[in-house]
Amino acid sequence: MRVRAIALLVGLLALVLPLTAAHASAASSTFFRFAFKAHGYVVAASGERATVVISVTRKERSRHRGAETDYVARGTASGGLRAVLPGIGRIAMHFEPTGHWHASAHCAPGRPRIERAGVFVGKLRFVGEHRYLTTVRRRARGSERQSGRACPSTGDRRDHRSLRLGRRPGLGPPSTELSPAERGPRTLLLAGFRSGPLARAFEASKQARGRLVMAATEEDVVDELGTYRTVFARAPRSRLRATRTLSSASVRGIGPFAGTATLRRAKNGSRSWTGDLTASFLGDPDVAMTGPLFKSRLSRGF
Amino acid sequence: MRLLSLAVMSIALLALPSLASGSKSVTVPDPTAPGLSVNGAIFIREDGGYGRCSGTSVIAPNRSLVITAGHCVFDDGHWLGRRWVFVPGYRHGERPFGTFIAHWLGTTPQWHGAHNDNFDVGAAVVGRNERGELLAQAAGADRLVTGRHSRAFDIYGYPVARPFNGGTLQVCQGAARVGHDLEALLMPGPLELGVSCRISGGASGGGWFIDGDLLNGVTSSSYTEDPATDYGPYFGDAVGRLARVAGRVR
Repeated sequence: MRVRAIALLVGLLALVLPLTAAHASAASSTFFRFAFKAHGYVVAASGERATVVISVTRKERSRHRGAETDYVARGTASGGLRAVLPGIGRIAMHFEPTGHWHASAHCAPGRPRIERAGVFVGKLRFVGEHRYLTTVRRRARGSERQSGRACPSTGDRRDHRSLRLGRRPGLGPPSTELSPAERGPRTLLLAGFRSGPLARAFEASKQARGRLVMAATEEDVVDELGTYRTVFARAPRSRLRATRTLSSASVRGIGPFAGTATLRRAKNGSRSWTGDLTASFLGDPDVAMTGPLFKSRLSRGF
Repeated sequence: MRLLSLAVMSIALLALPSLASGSKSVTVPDPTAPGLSVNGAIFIREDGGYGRCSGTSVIAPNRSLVITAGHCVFDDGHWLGRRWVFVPGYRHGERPFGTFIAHWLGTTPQWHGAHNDNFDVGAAVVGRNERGELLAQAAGADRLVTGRHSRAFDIYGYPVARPFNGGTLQVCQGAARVGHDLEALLMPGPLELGVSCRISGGASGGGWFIDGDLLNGVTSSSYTEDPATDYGPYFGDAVGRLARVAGRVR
């Protein structure tokens, strides 16, 4: 039986959808995407072949925390985006190109990719769980990208530059990239479980210097609607304490986390992960990050 | 980018110990009994060593068809055809119905071309055994059905990885569907199914049966941290086409 690498699930929007195209042998595939701001969130819709993803990112004032939820549904990404997201909304928007094909920022020999700008017209209706966001959009600027098509030989420099200039920091996913000061030997506390379609994981990571990084994910599929939620926060280092022998550790949450959790390792090697630590994901607040299902691990580099 | 930390977390999760709960499989006392002998162990010899899978003898015009997982016939971009052997009714080294060597392997275009888990189904056409018998003559064959929406399956296989030893046929009876996996949603096609069944490596390709003797799925994969859930592709049109094509190969 093959063992799945759940790392593939990380980064649905940014990585996996393009990856699926890359896996599709030499056949070309088309990827549609648009994004817009709504009530303090950034909503992005994208799709490729039979998969449509609505991604919601909370705009944070601080770069020290972030939250994003991706909703993955069956649909069609042909001439636009069309899908029903059970309990969440629906999208039916067609793509009207306004620009010419040009090399995508990632277009390279062996990995040809071109794109063109355009406008999505139709209707996107999104109602987040517990109504954390309700929005209707009838028109949005976006792009169509095709892989498997040769990169144009002219205009590349201009296109690349315009793409770089066109990137707006506020529209990207939350960043947990470690700064140089945060790299080096680290203390890592990890707890998680998977049971059928449901999986949760919590991580607290402390480098030799710099701030503590807490992150959590929750993944589930209900009624053929997949949800992948992530939150992270940078916190003072004192919020994760571990004994020198790594026999125990405690973590104290900071928004969007709350409560505390303690890991204890008995002499026989068994571990317990207890406490009232919760994570508040977009659409699923106060999710317990401790409990009997969780398995935990504590390590320290040297 | 945001994915750094989460990728680390996800990868590290693979090393976490597995959960203790989940529906367990039981050993089939006599895998040679009528109706059970269609299940068999698959032995694959590759340059790097031996591989193990499971499969099912299926009714076909050539009476020599084995259905298994796609990655048991084609994996990592190459066919596993150096030496591919099906042993129905296998138990602790015994081969009560003989050995059947494959002379034709096939899989779905989606698995072959895109490594799409939703289509991880393979087929093998085998020759006669040492006694000159065709597979269906020697061990019997079950019917393959497609387009069903079953809620529970009897899942068979020869798991090798601990706590099993590959010598016995295991079954999870009435394994209930637990839903779909997020990864399945990222690929085209009918969604792969998850069922509650604790079974390990080597059971790949083992048959999922409904109504007692109708083959309606095969074991494809599981997560390290959740061995109590077994994933397998939905049997739709693509699987039906594969079986029809393979069943006519002589």
